[in-house]
Amino acid sequence: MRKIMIDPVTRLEGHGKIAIFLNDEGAVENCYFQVPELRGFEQFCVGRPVEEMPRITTRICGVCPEAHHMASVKACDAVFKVELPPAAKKLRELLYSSFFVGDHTLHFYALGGPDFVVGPDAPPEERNILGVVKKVGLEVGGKVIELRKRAQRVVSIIGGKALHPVACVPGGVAKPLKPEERDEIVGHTDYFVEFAKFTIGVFDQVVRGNQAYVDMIRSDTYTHRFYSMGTVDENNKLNFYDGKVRVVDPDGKEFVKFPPRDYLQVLAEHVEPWTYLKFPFLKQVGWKGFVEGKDSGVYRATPLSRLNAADGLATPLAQEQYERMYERFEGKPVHQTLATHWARVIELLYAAERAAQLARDDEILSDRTRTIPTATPSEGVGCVEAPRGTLYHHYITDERGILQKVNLIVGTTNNHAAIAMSIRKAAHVMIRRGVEITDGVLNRIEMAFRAYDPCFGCATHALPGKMPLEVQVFDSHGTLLASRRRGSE
Amino acid sequence: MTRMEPCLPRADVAPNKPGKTALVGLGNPAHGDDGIGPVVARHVYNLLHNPANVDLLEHAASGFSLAERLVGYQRAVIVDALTDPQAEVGTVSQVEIQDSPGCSFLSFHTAGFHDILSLARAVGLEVPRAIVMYGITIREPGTFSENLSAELAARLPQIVKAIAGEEIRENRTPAGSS
Repeated sequence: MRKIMIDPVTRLEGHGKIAIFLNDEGAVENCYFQVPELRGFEQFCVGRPVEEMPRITTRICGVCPEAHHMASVKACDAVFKVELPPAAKKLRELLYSSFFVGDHTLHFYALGGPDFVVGPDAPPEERNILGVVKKVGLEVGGKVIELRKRAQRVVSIIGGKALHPVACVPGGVAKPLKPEERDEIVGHTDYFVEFAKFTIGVFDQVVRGNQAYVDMIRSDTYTHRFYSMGTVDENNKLNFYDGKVRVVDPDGKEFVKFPPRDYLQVLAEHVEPWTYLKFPFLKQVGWKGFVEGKDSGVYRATPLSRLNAADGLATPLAQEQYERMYERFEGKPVHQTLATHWARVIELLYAAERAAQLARDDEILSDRTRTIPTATPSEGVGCVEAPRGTLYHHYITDERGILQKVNLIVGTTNNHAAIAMSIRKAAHVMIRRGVEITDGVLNRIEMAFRAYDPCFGCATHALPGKMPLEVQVFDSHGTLLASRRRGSE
Repeated sequence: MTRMEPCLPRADVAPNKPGKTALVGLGNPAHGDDGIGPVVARHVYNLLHNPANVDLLEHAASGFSLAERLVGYQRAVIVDALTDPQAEVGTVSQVEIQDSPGCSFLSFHTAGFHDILSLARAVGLEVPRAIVMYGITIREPGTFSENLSAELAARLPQIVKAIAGEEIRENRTPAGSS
């Protein structure tokens, strides 16, 4: 049998390319961020019974199946015009909050955190979770693994399966929660809260305690004034599972608040010839190109923008941290892209506290977890806050519930224009004539987009690790000057 | 630094499975030929001499979560799709994983499979001492589909035979197998 060697083992979860073109003076002329697209999802879905979608959409990618499951089942609720029993809403939100805890933990410790904990200029082979553990302590690694296990366990108990949950169905949740399962979940969610508090401490010590990092976070290189989007409850407090979508302008003033079913009245999509991925923008402001400010319809839907769009958080410890962050930045909204990491650990604490609250709510033990749909299906929109942005699922069916049309706006797509601009600005600052294009320089450009926790996970998963990200720099004649491939060195 | 309270009892989501092998079909069944791993793993499982010592797992998520699922197993056999323009579709390759615990992060979204296994080992969790990975060459699918391409489907019997034969011949089936 043929043998091949791969180092490291990779799973392709969407890969991108950043192409930077210089002018004759050696400064950045253009910068493009491209991702491939796996086509045909709509055709894949059309003709199927809509109730299959909550299970099918978990297969869109391997990164956030829980978010697609939840947005999809909410779209199905709307298609069937069914109102959920209170217990079902709470069980779904408990599952979803637990998923958030696991996902944000992964990003902080394994993806975004290494840039800060190990350092942006550290060798690539050290900028990973093992480097974090080496720096912060071995016990941290054990805690991360334990936390992830517990989060998956809660998803598995309520959702029927970890990773690809199946139990959320149109009208509610397929199975009630047993008392012994609830007792177990309470233990897990208590752990979430302790872990999240611990993580806030790590962030304070490692990131906020380092003046160089604070300066980098506050620098103009990583700052853009965009509109901010996020989902809020009836008190304008952040909610990941349900509510209205609120957008505040770059000064922090409410621009629009709308029920998700109206998303097409608020959002439109711009197309560029150099990428398949579209650029959503605020229709009322309009697409003015890749520019920031109040006159540009570019917006962000990220942990930071969610905090900007909300008036606060509904849990006490997270609210305290929320206030502390805005005090440190001397006002709201915050536009420093790298502060998204801070917002993410605050959201981690909120998700943990919210899960603990819901786990102790006796209503989740109700036998009534589903309203059987009886209305004729037609059209519906489901929306949740995915870890990396607002996620919309929109289905149109015939009277038998057979899908006729499907439209999705996924979390990262919301941020596409902002990501492209953040990369471009960082490249402009970092790459100048006479500056050697080192791995550290390219990593600092990558940091501008890594803050978004971007996901292009609908790509294929085939080995051997096609590069998840390639950064290339070309001179004014198109000659390749430098190239870095993440994950291959 | 903030201190955590002593650990609460551990969740029983990855109990030790001494002597057991995880046979993992890796791939997304909604992504056409990318779903070849789970299909082949199912067939191979049925051909093994002692499947009682083997857990058949199907996995379509990140490397991080795959590594988490392998904690507690003594051995892992992973069947995955492989993109290699130089090889014929359906070619089976044995993929060797270099032992480099310090490798960099691997994708936008997940820490590396190997990173996590190394981390789990470092904190004292049992992870497979041997991992064998088989890659099956595919052409990269460009659309969503639940079906394998005709070209790959036609090679399925040979692919299954090659992997099952290798496992049995090399006595890689778990301890206690006949």
